[in-house]
Amino acid sequence: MSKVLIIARLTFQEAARKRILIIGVVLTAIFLSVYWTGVHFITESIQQDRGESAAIDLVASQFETAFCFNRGLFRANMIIAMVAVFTAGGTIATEIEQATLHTIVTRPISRARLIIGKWLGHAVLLSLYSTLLYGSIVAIIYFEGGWLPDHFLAGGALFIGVALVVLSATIFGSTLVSGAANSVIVLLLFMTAMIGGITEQIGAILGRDSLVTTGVISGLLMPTDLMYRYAVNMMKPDMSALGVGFSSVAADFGPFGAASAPSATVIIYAAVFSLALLAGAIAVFNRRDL
Amino acid sequence: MNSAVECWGLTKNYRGLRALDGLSLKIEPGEFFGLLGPNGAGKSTFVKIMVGLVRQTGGWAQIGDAPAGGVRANRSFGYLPELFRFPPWMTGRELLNLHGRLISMSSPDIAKRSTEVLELAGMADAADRRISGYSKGMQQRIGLAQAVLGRPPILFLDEPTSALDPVGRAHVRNLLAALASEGTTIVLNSHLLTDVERVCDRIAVIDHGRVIKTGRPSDLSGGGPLLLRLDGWDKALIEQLSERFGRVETDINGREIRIYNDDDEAAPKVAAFISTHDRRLYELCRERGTLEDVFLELLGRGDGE
Repeated sequence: MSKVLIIARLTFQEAARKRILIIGVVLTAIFLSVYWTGVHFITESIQQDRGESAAIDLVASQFETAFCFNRGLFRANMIIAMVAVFTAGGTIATEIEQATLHTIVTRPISRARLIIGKWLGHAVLLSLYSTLLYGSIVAIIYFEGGWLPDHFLAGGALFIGVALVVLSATIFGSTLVSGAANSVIVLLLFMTAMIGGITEQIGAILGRDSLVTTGVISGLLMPTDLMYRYAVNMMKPDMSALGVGFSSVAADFGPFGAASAPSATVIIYAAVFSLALLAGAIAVFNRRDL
Repeated sequence: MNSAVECWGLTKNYRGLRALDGLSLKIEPGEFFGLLGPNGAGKSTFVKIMVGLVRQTGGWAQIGDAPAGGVRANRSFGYLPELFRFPPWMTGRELLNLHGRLISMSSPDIAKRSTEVLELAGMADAADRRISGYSKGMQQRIGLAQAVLGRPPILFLDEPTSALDPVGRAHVRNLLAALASEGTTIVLNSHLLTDVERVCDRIAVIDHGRVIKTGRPSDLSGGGPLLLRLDGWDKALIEQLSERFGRVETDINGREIRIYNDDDEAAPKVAAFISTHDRRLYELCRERGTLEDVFLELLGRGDGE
């Protein structure tokens, strides 16, 4: 078995046993239950409030369901980032502090392969987790609202992508600072990007270019929010096709939506960003004394 | 033939602190080599550079013919670190399985060899228990088992008996002696001078990041005075001994005499001389100091330099 895969498997087994992941899964289950309940009552009230025009009812119903979907995605995005940070935050740093890495590093495996193996192990775990969480939200929306968003598979891939971007940043940080400091720094960057993204949407709604620029810059620091907006924009229902005059603010879900939507370049940027961080992690770890 | 472990002019600076200051050392294949020195002398830094945990600031180091710290060099040794910590969620056998795969052993070979080394390390009964439940001594034993798993030609052991009781220490000493007799090169870093004295072929005393002395334990601890035990002595005998052989000390009970003369030929000459003096000679030997005496003396001298 390739050395990278040996380390990936070890990392996966180790991360999957972490108490923080178990807590995360339990909290996720609670979140999904509450979310499902909320969506259930909202869709039920829509059914009861049916008006005279069938066309408007259809759009209103789809809009409400899509709105619920958007709120679910926004929270899921945050949860995925947190799980990525807390499971991988101390991966290299804590293992150096606790000296559990010493007998591994002195085996015939390059430090680059070790980092890639660590990344891969966490990536598999986070992809499974993200797929489960995202898939549950899509399923709840479909089951309760009868609506399946366009490009929902591509949207799911983007959510996994968010987890992988956060993971790359976390692995890079763990070669530089302690596990706790690393988790705080990466979460702060994620939050900065998220708040920047909200600022950008408000700027776009109000027509203030300076706010949009602020959001774009903070998004470049950590492209997770840009990826989220890109996914939301891709999956939002097409209201204009139905010929009904919804305001664009509502159709774009306000600050949680994609009134100012990034272009597909964001995917390339996120990939380059992640690869650069991974290369940085290898370069730092290669020089580091243990 | 290449030496097993060799370094020349090795230096290491840690944020302005010089841990190694031009350390040069050559360890031949099959040698059981001991590293002695006070805390902070640079022994662990030397070992860490050789196994690739730490990068040297200057000088070169190699394992066999491969530069230390590279993947090729790492193929030829097993290592037990001073801080032996292993994933607590694994069982001992799972740990060996992981390390077996990292050194590209086949699955049947891992299974067979794991059973052997678990037996050797006295861990067969605890092999399928989680490491989190191991005592410190057991963790050190499983660490030793992972170090010898792949039958490496070279072993680096950093304080391998620090967590063991006297019985455990004796067990590990015997295990290492058996490995050395099979031709394994062993580099042992230990504070326990008696361990080093008993098992090592050669020793390097390290202080202030340099080798200040190398030699066989017996050579290092040799060179003491000649001890004579007689039925008695008088002033004239002492004066004549002193004239012929050098400085003489007598003890208070009037039976033991120490002659400070390093010459190997001095003993038979002293015996012949005593026989002409109507004295009964009960014992004549060269008194050897312990390695601890030598160690303290060397370091005392080292500090003064």
